[in-house]
Amino acid sequence: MAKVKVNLKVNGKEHSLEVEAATRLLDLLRDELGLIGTKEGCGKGECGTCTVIMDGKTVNSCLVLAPQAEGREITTIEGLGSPEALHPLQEAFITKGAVQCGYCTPGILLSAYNLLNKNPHPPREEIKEGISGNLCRCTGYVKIVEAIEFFSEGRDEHGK
Amino acid sequence: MLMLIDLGYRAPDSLKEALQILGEDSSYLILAGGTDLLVEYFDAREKMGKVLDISRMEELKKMEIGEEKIFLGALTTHEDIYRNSDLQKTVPLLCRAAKSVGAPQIRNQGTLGGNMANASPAADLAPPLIALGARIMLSGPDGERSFNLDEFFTGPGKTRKNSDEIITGVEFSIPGGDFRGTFLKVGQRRALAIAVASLAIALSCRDGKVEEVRLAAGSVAPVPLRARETEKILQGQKLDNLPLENAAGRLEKEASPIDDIRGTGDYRARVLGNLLRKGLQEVLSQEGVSENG
Repeated sequence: MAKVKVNLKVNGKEHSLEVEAATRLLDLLRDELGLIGTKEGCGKGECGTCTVIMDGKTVNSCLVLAPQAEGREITTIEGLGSPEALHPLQEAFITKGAVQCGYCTPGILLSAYNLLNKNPHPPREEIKEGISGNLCRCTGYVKIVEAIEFFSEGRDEHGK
Repeated sequence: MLMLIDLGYRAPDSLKEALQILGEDSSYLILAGGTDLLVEYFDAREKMGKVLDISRMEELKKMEIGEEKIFLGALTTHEDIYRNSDLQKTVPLLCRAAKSVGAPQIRNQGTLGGNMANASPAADLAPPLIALGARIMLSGPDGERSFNLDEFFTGPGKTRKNSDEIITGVEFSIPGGDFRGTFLKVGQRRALAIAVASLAIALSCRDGKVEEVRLAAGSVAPVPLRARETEKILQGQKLDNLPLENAAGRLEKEASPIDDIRGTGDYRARVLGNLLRKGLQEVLSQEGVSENG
């Protein structure tokens, strides 16, 4: 298949790349930009592990062809916080023990982050719906929901 | 438009340009939200061949909600439908179906046109749109065509659209008078579930009787099924004395569900009958919209 040029902004930084048209956004992020915080799970849009935020909406990056991201703004887990300065939502996940193997965590954090951007204090049902596209096979979701609630309740105090 | 290095991937901005490309070479695979195509080509994306990416065509993103008619462009996403307050008011059954699809990520990507073009018997937007009497609009080299949506699907994955045509949207009249409707779906879990069976019910009532009824079911036939035989049983009947059992039994026979990984045919038929019982009870408890809106 053809090679195409793709210009996109990832975590605030402009990139201009030439990729095979059949490349997925997931592969562009991981293989071209080295942003390996975005994980591949099923590759078929069922598990949400590869979730990123594209122009303010969560998408499965395994179902987006890289050239479809032309001109778009992408946020990956690397754009949320860094190991030295975690985002308070990430801190909340640690505090509440919402991370076990960690493989689904980047995707769940981005789904939760995007939900909280739209509604800073979502009720429990809305949190569940917000992360319904992300499978976790370790924790059973209770601690994840609790972590999101913990962050949401405390956010006025820590000002984020 | 994207810089073009090869002709194997095209992403035109306009319908005119897209139709020109298809007119010259109708072997292009039309890509919109990608939620079906990238799954289909999961382990063989190189076999996608030539891709016509229509996801940038602003003119297919239109939603026109008028006094009497609603037009939804082909690139309207499931999330656009589910979140639209005018649609929630006028056609809540359609919003409920849109909400039942996948999860936020899939609803943000998957489009109305894609749901129709992919022509799965389980396409969740098809039953409510058929029940609303929608027409589907196509554009091609010889101009525009449209079909009643219940005549558009011809088999699993098959429609009456030609390979050089593009779906531009669907159109339907806003139900008036005493209208009642619902959409019910049974899946294996609440999120990311493909329907085991689904049913849309649209009743127009007058003087306490069913004046017009449309029933459409998903995942119980090779195509989204307009249940005309069952409709006949309900037509003209008094709302306070609907022949529920008779209708449910007829619907189970009118369907022809298959056995697959999501359920057996027998199970699907029984679920479908139950959806009709439950759905009719639900619409009976709805307050009809008054003549004056």
